[in-house]
Amino acid sequence: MPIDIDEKNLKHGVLGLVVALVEIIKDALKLQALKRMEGGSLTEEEIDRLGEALMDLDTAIEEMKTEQGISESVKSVRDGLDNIVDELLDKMIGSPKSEVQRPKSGNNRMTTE
Amino acid sequence: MTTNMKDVIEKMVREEIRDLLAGHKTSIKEMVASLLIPELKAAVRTSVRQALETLMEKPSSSPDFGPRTSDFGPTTPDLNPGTPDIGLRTSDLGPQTPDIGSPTSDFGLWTSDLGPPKGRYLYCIADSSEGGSLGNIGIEENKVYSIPYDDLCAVVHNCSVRPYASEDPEIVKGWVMAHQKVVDAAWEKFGTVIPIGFDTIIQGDAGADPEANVKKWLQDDYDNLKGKMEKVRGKAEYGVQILWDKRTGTQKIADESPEIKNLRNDIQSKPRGLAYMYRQKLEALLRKEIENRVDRFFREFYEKIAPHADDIRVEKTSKTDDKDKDMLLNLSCLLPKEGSQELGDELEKINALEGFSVRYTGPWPPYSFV
Repeated sequence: MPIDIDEKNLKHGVLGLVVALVEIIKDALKLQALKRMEGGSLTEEEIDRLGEALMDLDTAIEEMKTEQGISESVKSVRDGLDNIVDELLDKMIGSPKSEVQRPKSGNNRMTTE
Repeated sequence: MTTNMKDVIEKMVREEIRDLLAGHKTSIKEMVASLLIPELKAAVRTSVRQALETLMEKPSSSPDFGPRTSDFGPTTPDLNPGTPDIGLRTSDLGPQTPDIGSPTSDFGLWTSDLGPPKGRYLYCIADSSEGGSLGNIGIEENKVYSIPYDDLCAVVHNCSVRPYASEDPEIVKGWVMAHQKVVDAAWEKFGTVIPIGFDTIIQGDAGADPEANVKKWLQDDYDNLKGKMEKVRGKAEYGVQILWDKRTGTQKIADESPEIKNLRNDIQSKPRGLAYMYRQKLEALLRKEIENRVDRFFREFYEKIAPHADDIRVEKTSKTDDKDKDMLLNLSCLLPKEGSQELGDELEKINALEGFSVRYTGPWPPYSFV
């Protein structure tokens, strides 16, 4: 597949990848924070600070995406990754144990949104 | 004076346009390259094939079909490397996305593509011993006819041994649609058919007539084919898809769950950071509940539908065009050709439920059940 590289779409491509990764890490952080919160190991103040930090992270990423015009790139990277993970999971878990096979939904997000 | 002004203006306009286009020159160049070459190749291929076919039809001409290298020059390399993976929408084109690039029947050597067409493009097997023409309804307007063996026949057109491949999804789409039209026509003419996937080509062995190979294939697989023919006799494939309005559905779930309602109230009173975390928790809960509901719906609907079908296959759900609707269920059902009133009634009931819509398509030839 010939890859067309010029300055502009190199930026889009690389930046899109990087921001997609950042979003995924952020989602993982959120999950961890939720677990800690529900596990009861955090004080209210700590939860509040965590929440604020994550909120700021959310805003910063959204702003960056809009400014750089890479929202589409990021979405397509994440959609692509989701499809790959879905297929992998189907292969591993997809053997029909019961008569009714669970449908392979194209709507599962790899990470929580 | 005015003529000078005009020249000056013309010159300036030209320069500006050139400057503006300069940035696009590379993309224009690439576009021409990527579009021109496949089209050119396809046109050359078609003319060569047609010329050879006319040659073959002349009865008196000496049967010298061996390759004359002086005429044709060095063998052309594989024209279109690989077949693309086109994600064709099933709702547009019928049941399955056909397996593009399915392997050619392993009957002969990959012979040089010179001389009479050594391949037979397979559309379907029909329940009939007729061997006749169905007209020029094939891919690229090739003549479609049937090759009989015993009480079955194979519906084919003559082609090269190379599978059809193109980088242009529009071209491939056209081919697939032509394929489906031929299968439909054969279905109508012969009553019962076993549809074959797109791009299935049977080659002749070196020196042998590909026709003989088609008959041999029918003979070798006769029992299996007869069995399949019986399974689908008088039946057709129908597609059932159930969509769910995710937005209103989610709203309902949120309203019905006391846990979620409590969380919502709590959030109102909390400071920013805390509120954010609680909102994350709420979203996670909601997501889990939706997942459970969707599972339950699938099971319930499947159990309502399955008893009415002779055979049923669970297909992958795809993303819908409507952002607010999700596809819950995608089934291919084998029903009697005229459909099933009971299934229709059942689907009507489901469609009437709030938040659900049913897409019921068919009848198709039984692609998924052979």
